[in-house]
Amino acid sequence: MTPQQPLEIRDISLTPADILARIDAQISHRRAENKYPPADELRSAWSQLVPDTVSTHVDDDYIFQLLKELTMASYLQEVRFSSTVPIVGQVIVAIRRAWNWMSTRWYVLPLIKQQSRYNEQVIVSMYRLLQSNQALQTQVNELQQRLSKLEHTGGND
Amino acid sequence: MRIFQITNGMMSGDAVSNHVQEIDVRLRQWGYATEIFAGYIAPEMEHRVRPDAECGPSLADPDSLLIYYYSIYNPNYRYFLQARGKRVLVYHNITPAHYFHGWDTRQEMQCVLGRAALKELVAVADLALGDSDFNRQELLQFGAPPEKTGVLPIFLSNFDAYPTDGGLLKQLKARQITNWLTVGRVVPSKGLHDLIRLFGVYRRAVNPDSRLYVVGSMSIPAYATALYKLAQSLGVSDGVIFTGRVSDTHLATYYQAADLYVAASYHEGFCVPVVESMHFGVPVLSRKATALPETLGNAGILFTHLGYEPVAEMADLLVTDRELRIRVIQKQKERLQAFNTMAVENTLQEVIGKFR
Repeated sequence: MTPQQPLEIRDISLTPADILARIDAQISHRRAENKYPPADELRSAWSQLVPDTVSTHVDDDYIFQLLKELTMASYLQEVRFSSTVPIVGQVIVAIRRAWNWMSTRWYVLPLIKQQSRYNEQVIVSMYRLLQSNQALQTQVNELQQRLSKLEHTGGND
Repeated sequence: MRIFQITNGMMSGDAVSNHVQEIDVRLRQWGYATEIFAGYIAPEMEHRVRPDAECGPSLADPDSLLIYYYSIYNPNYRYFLQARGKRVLVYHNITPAHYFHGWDTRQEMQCVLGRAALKELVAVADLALGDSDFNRQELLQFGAPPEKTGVLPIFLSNFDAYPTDGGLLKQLKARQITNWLTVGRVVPSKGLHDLIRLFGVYRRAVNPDSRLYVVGSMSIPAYATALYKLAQSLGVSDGVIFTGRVSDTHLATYYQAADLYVAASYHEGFCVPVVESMHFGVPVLSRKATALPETLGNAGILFTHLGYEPVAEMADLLVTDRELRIRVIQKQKERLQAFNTMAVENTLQEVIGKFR
């Protein structure tokens, strides 16, 4: 086995060296029979499916705070009725609940959910734009540095 | 003392939800007045759980104890900041955002925000607990003083209470097929793209009569589609089965039918499925990453990287070498004792005792 051996058997009562030797022998045997798929095939099979991304992160504290506050406000919740009035209070609550159930719940609740989904999408879109903006800013900074260097050297490195 | 718990969501078949319920049961048995609040409440939980927006009176009570569970960013974390009583943070880990980059902006943003908010939570917590030492270490990195941290292992579901689905079990065990299993959300941090490639090597070179069952919700369509295509391109698409989210009964059945559990995750804060595999006597082959080696202890077999050929051959030995298999399972059963109900109850009692 090469030093790159990936297996770690922590239970020494299993006699790890024996197990690794058996695995070595099995690998040699199957390699001789050309059984394993080529490593390149395994690598490229996944690498061509990974989305193209620009490595970015949003690290501005103010933006963080803003996003957090927006997220907190984005989730709309159904009102639950309660009352602190003794005895009669529970009756009031029951009547309000019944009225809400009959008249508004079937109409308002889907709207609440729709609005919450919309709010969330807006915030996610903002986050995506922020990421994109930061990536562009990084590129601009790099280009400016290269331009300054060129101006300084007159294009002669 | 009134003890109330706030969490992201309460639903059946969810490890954190189960943990919250088990704690609630113990606290009531010990004579405390308790309440559970959550941002999302599944219909089957409505009788026990109230919306988090209704926790105001509990927050205002200076003699109360709030236990807040943090596993995903949720605006309800502000209640933890506002509470006037004692505050215990239970951290189940938030996946580093970069695993979602390019796959799902919403989840990436939630992870970024979640980790940023963790600093605020740690700053006000009277006690910050991880469900593993790995998670406790992260709490320290986020500024928690060591003396205000600890480990509270998770209460596991009582799988013995779930009946087996005989029809499904028969179907899974048909034709002596070897079943690999992995359980968890279908997200990039679980390393499923590595697992499918590993399974591809195993199936093509070692055992063509094998299947990989991926049991868990598919919350990122782009990633799920890429995994389908990967399995197709490796010629093993008929052997990789994505079940989606399943009931507890079906989950128990998948464990019973499994010959091997493989955890290829890059990031786990604890990994309940590994412990469940130990419970069901399924040998575990796991990546040596984040909390996984801690959860396994000296049990199971680890791989540090892929290494597809040796890891696939190790998988074969765990399935076919009867003596090795029995010894690995035995060691896992011993390790399981660290997570038994009594041990978790004792730790919980110690935690609550600090605030009496």
